[in-house]
Amino acid sequence: MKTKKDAIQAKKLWDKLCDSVATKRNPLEGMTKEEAIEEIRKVREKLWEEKFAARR
Amino acid sequence: MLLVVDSNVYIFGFGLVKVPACKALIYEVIAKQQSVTLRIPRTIVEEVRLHLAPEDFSTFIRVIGTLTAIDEDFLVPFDLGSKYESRGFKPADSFIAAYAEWVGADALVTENRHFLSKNPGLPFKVLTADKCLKLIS
Repeated sequence: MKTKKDAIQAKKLWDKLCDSVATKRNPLEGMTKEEAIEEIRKVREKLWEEKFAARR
Repeated sequence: MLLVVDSNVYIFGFGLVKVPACKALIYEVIAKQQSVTLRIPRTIVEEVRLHLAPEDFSTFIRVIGTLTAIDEDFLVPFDLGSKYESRGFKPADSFIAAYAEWVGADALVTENRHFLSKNPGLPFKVLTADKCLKLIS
């Protein structure tokens, strides 16, 4: 069962993730939102092709 | 309310591209765990992994672990994915749509305009993070 304690813990972890991501190399650096969406879609398609190939 | 949140919303939510509505939506989903149920397939988890350092991915998994369990892709019926491909979705997008239908999602939350433009007649809503926020806040 989800509790208030879980929510507090999840929020802390998400804050930690945001802080840590901000200190690392950003693979989407300099991209607009639309460009980033296209890049993420390319990753999705590539991942999917690999999964599909692995099942053949 | 049952939500499937697309990888772009998580990725924007932790700030690789700053989209305030995406970040706010993640916080809202966390805060409203009693009334908002999140579902996530393995494919979306893997997409997020490819954009994070291993240590940060571990933190992401811990956040997801407090909110929901990860569903394996093979659970989703193949025919359901084919249905969306025949509607013009790319194969991977078809899987996400099929997954949203399979879990009985009320909404798929995405910033992907390809989903947003193919919205009519889907068995779930397709919402941007901003629209979803307005709905659940």
